[in-house]
Amino acid sequence: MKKLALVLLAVLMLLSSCASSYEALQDEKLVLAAGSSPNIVRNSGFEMGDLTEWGGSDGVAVSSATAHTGKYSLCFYPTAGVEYTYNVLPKQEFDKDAGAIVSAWVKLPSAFEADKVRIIVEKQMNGGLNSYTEVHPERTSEWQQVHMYVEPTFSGSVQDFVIKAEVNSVRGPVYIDDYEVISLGSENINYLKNGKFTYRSDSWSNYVESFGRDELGAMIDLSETTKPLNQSTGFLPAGWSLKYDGTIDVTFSAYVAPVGDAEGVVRLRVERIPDLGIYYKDFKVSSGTGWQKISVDIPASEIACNEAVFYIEPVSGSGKVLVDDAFVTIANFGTDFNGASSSVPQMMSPDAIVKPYLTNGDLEGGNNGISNNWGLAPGWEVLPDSYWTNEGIEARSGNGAVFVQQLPSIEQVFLQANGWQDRGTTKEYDATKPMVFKAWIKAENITGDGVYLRVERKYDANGAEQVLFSTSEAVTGTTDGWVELEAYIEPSDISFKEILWDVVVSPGEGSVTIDDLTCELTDETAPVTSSENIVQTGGNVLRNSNLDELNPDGTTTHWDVWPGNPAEGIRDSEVIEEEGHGNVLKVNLLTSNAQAVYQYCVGDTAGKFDFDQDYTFSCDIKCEGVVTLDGRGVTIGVKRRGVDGNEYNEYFRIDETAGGWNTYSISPTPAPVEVLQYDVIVDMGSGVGSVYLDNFSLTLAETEEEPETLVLAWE
Amino acid sequence: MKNVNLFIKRAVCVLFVLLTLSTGLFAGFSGSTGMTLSYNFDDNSYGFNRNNTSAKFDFNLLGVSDISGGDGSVKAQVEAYLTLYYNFENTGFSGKDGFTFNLDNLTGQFRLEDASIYGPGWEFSLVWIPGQLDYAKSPIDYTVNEDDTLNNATATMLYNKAPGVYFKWHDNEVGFGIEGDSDNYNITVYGQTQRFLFSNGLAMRFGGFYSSANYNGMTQSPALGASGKIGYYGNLFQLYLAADTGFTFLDDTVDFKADIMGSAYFGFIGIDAYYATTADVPGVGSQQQYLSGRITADLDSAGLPVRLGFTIKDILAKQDMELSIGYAISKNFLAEVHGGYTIASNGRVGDMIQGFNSYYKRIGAWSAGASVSFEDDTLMTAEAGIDLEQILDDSEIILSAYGEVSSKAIISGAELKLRYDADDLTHASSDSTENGDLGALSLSCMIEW
Repeated sequence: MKKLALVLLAVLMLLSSCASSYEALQDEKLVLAAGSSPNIVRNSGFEMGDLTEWGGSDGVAVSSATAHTGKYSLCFYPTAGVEYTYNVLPKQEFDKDAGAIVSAWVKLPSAFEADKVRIIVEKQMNGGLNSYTEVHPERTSEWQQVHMYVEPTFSGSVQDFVIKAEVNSVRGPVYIDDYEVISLGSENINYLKNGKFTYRSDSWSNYVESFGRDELGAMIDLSETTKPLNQSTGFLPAGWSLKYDGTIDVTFSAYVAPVGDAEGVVRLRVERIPDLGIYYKDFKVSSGTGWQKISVDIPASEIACNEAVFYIEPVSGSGKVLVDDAFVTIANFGTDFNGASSSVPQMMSPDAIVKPYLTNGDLEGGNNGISNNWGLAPGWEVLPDSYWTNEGIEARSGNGAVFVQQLPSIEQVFLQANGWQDRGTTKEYDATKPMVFKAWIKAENITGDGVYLRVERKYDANGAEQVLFSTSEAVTGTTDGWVELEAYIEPSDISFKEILWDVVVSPGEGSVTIDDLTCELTDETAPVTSSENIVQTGGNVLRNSNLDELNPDGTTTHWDVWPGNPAEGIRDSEVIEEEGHGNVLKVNLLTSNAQAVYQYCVGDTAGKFDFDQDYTFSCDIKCEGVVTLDGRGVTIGVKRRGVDGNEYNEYFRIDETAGGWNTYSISPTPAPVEVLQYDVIVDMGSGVGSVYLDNFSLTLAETEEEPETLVLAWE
Repeated sequence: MKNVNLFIKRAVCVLFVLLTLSTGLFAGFSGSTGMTLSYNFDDNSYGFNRNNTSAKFDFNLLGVSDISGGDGSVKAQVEAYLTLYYNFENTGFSGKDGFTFNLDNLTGQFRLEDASIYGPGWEFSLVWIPGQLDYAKSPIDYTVNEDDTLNNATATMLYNKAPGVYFKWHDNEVGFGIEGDSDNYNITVYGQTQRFLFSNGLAMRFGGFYSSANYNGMTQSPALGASGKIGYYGNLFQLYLAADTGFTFLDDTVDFKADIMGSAYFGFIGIDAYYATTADVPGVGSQQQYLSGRITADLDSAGLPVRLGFTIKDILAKQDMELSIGYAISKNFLAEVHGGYTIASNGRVGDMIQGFNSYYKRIGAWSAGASVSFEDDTLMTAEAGIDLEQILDDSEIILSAYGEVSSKAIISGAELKLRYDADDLTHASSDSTENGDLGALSLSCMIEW
């Protein structure tokens, strides 16, 4: 036994000495991998919220229970037997035969489960057996990073480089997050998604399918200079790992080939937002040249950009040009970049590129009844009578336009958000400059509050979302052909988080056709057609006025029922659907206490309006067997709290015995002081019976000098 | 010899077919070889072990063809593996001097892994249908394979696959196979749904099969099987249930097999159970009416790296109980002590059920042991343990020990291993043992290439 112990000791010493040199080698390799090499793994942190790019067995899912970074991680749920997940790294977009550093963050349910978890790299070979490299996590239930060095392929070539994780009969959930693969051959990594057009239009704008150098490719028309083939990093999915940020030297290249006798100029251009300089280079293509590689070098910037757009664009000429194998690869220009080399690109000012502020404003783009880049709230799918089309409709220009049929109780909004815009062809909204939102409409028997333009600029302040509204005049009735609406957008220093350009179609019975929407800079420094920027003119300033919008628990958004505090009493209300009215709020009177339905607005409430204007409050009420015991009846009114601390309230009692639905309104006298809070309210005394409420409205009181709603009679 | 030649001829034919089918064919080989130097303490023999000197040649035959007309959306793939294994035992092989190739020492396996047509979200396989669904496995009864994977106890249903085809669409699978003649037939139908995953953390999947066989004189009967699994994956509580069932319709009766497993985890408490009408238990064999259970308390989540476990295996026959305490000394070191008592160690011997009902026929057994392990993938793994066991029928205490140090990190592509195993250090039992009473110390080096 002594001999055995001595032999064991000797072997351990040998292993230890070898291990020290091995660890030093590992460190050296890790240093090699450091620097600006990108992570090749897509959806590496599972922040897309699903298993995009990943496959796996039944016991694998994306979880929000815990994460190393972000919100999501991959979870292996406890089962008996083997569970696995895998990600085949993007083919032909990096050097799979080069060495790599692979790492992942792992959280075990217990230190005792470490040996049941394996992080694996499988190199599936073109010939020969696949090779595997694997590592176990250490025995800790804290988040830990495991990493391994994958050797270059010395014999043969790799067909697929697959990263995997596998657990066997694990007890308790195992979480994995933030995979990273740093290729030691990173110069071949492509920052463009779908650069070989294998997946057709995926991640590309203005894509036209065509033949490529091997299989699929793209095509541009030299005469269509407004339709550049482009890819924006802003449109890559959230959580996408391989995203160019402008801080490394790169070369943008592609192969182009003219079709037939096509002849002209093709430009490679890179635009980085915010502006880090636009780099471009022009290339002549002419018949008979076949496939040629074109490229432009983009030097690193010290400042990271939020978004970058890579264009392959027609500049001049006629005919079509095939495009394939677009790559953005890491380069290393060092200090030589500014030398007088022919490879130095040209630069241009962002102002030299004329782009609209709205995408698809002419509504020529669309499919299956839905216009590109524009939405229709509450949803195209629930509004079958409203649609986009480019056939059989009288568009103002081109062929495409949107038709909206008014509905009795639903407000429809045709809108574009800045987040939906194609950054490659659309200029970013600049809040510091005065602008005007324009649209052409053709109205037919429009009723209700009419059709008007509205711009919503959202921002956060005081911990809540705020909105600045800009609206146009409203149109009702029938127009004589196409008329243009304008909404002035006042300049602002606020950093807005979202901009919405809306065409609001209020509830009614008519219809409207919409076309040619633009947002343009204007020389006007004050609104022309609206009195004050933050006041919605021509429209109802109440939120969720038709009670269409509900909370997940079935209650109405923006409307409250008093008493909410059990110490003050109880409430009995529900939202029901009634034919011709849609959602209706039904309040069952109680003998124990009074109740009230109200909406309030203070200075920092979203949708804040000018409290010091004169308004008319109205709503539809139906009483069913109502008898109040406290003599208060049912009243509608407004509550206003002034700057002097006093309340300036006015109420109007309705006729509870009137049958069916009736519209009641009250136009309170102006408050003598500045108003700080403005509530609209329907009070119901204690008693029996039910009160039904719908169609709340608070609009500017009509004056002879300045009508807010125009009924147009076009001749 | 004749069989080997026949095999090679067939393999060459298949290779030719693959070549004609595919637009790209990749073939290569890899292999492994190694040596073991050992010293046996029982008979004092030592030296290099010829039996462990072998070589393996693997050929991966892959052909992929675009059949969609150029856009790459639909492809055909053929994938096959050919493995040749040469045993150098008694060949006088001594390295670079070479040797005479003797086909008697060559064995091989050809496996047509797949021949399929596939496109986005779907796959149509021409040569196979899947094997038996096996959702339920014992999380308690298992052995550990050499590659650290687990071999769990499970129930095996009668599922006699006929040659057939298989279609998969978004993880929904259907397989159909048939063969026969005017008198006999064998039909196989296989199906499995996709996994249904709901936002509240509920997941489920189901499958089933039908197979019938009365073919070439074989007497087999129609068999029907169904499997299902359901899991609830909450943030605080996880539950997993799985079951496999199989019915075989014999002439005058129905043979029924089933197994079911359940695991529940709530915080640091874990409960597992497994039951099978007939289970294939690794290291034990086929067992009827097999039931096991386990409860663990994992205090690691409370900051104390200790796991307490209480396990009862084969509850209906043996009541093989074990209490274990594990302690994670560091991120790499683990120590464990365990002690167990089996009420009826002879519970499945002979007419177990009748005999077992007699209290006096139960023969108890106790066991105890301890182990330590060290694991660092960038360095080495090491483990050592000692176990005591005694059957309470006047048998002596058996003492066994093992130890191993291995590393794949020191030399890339090679595994160095030092191993010692002894099954009966005090010669307490006259029974022969797998590793010998005093065991053997071996130093091995295996190289893959």
